[in-house]
Amino acid sequence: MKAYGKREAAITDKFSTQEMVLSMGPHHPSTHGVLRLILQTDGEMIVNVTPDVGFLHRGLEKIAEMVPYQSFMPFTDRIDYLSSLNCNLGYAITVERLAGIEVPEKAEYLRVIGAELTRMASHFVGAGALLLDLGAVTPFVHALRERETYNTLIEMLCGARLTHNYVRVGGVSHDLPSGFREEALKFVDHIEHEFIKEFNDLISFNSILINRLKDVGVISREQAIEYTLTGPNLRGSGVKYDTRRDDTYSIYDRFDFDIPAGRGKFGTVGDCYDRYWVRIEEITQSCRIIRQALNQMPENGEVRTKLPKVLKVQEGEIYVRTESPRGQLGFYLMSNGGTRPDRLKIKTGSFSAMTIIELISQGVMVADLVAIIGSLDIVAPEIDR
Amino acid sequence: MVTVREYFGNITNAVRTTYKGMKITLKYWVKEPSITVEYPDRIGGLRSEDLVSERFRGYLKVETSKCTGCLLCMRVCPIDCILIEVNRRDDRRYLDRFDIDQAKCMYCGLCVEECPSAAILFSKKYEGACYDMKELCVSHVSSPVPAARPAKKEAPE
Repeated sequence: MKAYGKREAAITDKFSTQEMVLSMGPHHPSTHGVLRLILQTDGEMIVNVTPDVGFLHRGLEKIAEMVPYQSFMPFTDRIDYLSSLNCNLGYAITVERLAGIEVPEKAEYLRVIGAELTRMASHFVGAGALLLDLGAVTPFVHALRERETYNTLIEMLCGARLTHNYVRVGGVSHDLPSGFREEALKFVDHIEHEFIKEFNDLISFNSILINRLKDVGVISREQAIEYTLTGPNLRGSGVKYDTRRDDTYSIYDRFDFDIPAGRGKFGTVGDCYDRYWVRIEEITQSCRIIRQALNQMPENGEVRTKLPKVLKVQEGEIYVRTESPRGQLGFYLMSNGGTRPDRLKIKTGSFSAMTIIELISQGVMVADLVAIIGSLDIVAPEIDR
Repeated sequence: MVTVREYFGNITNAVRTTYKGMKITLKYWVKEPSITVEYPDRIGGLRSEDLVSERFRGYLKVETSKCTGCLLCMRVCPIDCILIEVNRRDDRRYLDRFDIDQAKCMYCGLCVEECPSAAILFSKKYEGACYDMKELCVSHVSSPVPAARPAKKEAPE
């Protein structure tokens, strides 16, 4: 019994209630996948939350030890199905750094364009799903409409709509198709100048939504760092840290972009609204990066380095972190000089986000927990791998 | 405590911002053409396969006359959904079996990239609903086919 407000304490003094253990999930619409939360409730107030993860464990780390380096690429799609290209990129960079493989210039640009498009699409779903959980169905449909355009674009690029498998060790699988550049620029312009404004008018500045999200699930700057939150969840608490800028990889140092951080737009710094707003602002920044990349990209050039059919990586170990839409995605790769990894450890942003739920959900209502889960933008397969 | 002024201020604020959002919804409601599209099988007699992009990764198709039986696709497949049997009879190599389990296949495209003679390719077919799981295991060789000779540059015989 802790973290109660004064008013709640007065009520509980008068009416002694019995604590009840409630299971939220594994099949609950607001848990974004198969995730179980064990709630200890006192009336409608939450006393304690214990996340029960592991329902979607597929043993990807073990599979990595059984397939050759290049053949593990399709499995990285399945780490996070909403941002599969970012996971591809992280794994490819890890293997390339350990094996010392050079990537052609054009392939680097194509990777960045793909990764940023995927980041935008992931934030559409992230923001849309939060609103859907809170009961606003229309904005989710609007966000998915834009994601449909992204799907068509990425289908032109690599032939798949969800599990892209576009990045390869030493480059990318396909060059730009004809007409892609114009379509992508049109899409980016539409998002930056039309969609974001319309979306904000539609829901972001709606005072009912603001009241629902502000001052809920506040994570202070110190708590966020202490619990190793990463990505938009960390930046929502006011920490301006982005792996793309602070530990740069690929060619992100060539682009000019801002790092949005929570500043308490309507309530306290680090509340649910700040985390939501950081995602909306990041969409605009991704648009800027894509536009720069499309303009700077060389017209001609190789997109893939010639590599042996079965890649052998020298002995050693490496840890590479990249910025996925859900936070830092880290790959720890150990090689013993053979054709298969000796050990691959995957660290994801959603897993860090799960640890803090217990802390920030004490003393909130069950309905606010839905907002907290949505604002942390959890994807269940990414937690369990 | 919330004063009366704040209380009614909140209500008017909520009504005002909701009205702003509903105006956008209304705009889309009366706008033509609508955003919702019908399922592709009804669009002007086009088949669903015609609407996907050039690089679409659908069902795998195999041109057995081109296949050299090098087994590269079988080895690269991360989930072992391709099974090829090649046997040598009378100084000629024969493809006795070429099965692809489309239920297992995850359409990653590694086999298509590896194939040196472009015998295994993606089709644009993606509607694979059927009554039995076994129907998804497609056999591409019904009777033994002689394997194609590899191109001279690759492996001179």
